[in-house]
Amino acid sequence: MRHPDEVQLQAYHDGELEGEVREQIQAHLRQCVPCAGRLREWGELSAALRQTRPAEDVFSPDGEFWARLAGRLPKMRPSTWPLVPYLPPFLLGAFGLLTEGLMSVVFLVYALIGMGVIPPLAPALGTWLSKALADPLLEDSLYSWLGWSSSEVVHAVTQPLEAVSLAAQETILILAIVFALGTFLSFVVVVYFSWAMCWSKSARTNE
Amino acid sequence: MDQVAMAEAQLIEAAATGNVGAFSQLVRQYRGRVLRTAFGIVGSTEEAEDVAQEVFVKVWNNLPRYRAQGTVASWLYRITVNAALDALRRKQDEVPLDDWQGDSSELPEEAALRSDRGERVRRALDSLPPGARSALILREYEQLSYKEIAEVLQIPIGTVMSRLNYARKVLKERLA
Repeated sequence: MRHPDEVQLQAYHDGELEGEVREQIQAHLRQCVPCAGRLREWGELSAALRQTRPAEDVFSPDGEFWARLAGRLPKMRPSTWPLVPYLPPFLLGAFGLLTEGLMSVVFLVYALIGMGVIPPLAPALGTWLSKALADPLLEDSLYSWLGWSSSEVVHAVTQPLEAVSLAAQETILILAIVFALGTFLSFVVVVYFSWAMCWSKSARTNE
Repeated sequence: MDQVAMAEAQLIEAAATGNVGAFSQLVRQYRGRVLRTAFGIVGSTEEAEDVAQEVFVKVWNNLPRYRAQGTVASWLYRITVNAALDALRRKQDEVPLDDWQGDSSELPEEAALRSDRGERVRRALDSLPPGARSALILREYEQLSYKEIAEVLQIPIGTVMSRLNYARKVLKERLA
């Protein structure tokens, strides 16, 4: 048999070899003085290491250890539902994905209008905007608090829109929607990174 | 499942439901192994005690989520190795490695423990990379098999063998 390499010799020394391989190395060691010497050196190293193994009495007594530990045990254990730490990134990711999806739909609609596949949405959106701005709920709350009337607000918002061409109206409305969605997306990204940097520690230190 | 393992499983189950008495028995049963392993990695009794405390608080918090994959001992060894390596990292962050002169807060018992030869071995051990040191401590202090070390460190057996070989070679050179 060839001389066993260091890894094999250490595995033999650690009692990790079985069967034929073990017998072969054993037989080789009986004949080969240098290999037997190497094995003896590993044995001496193990013995030296085990001598640095601390005795039980170098540590504080059992009772003292337990008393200190008992004072540190939290009365309420942390949440036992294992998915809780992963919910914030999941929900934030879902919001982000939804917003991205909406933005893609908006761009697609804009492109289809431009190609003449679907009719312009600006007139319909303009009507919807006028109705939304004239909502009685807004008139009773925000407008009355600011001292405005709904007809003034509708006029102030829709007049500049009506002054430009249909295509320009379309572009302004699309840009407004994209800006709103983009702002929301930025908010999601900021919250996600805040979570990752500050609040996710408990999720990473379970073990 | 043998009787010892069954009794241990019952102890774990009781501790998981908040039974402090059962948990104290568990602590008594594993305290020595946790302290020795932590000492092997961090190299001081004081820090090893802090690590052991941290380990048992983590065990208490995570017991309801404990699923028997492998033995309780290997789960505890894994938590201990991770906590001890974290403590080492914190220590290295506090004291730059170039300025590291050893532990000045050494207790008299530790000083007694460190005979000349022991002192040299300990210093050589402290100079090993954390991964190799953990594998060697689990082997030489705790006498775990290669398979058990692989389970604790969550690495393949081949990596255990190469880490042990590396650690022993370095120690042999430094102690020559």
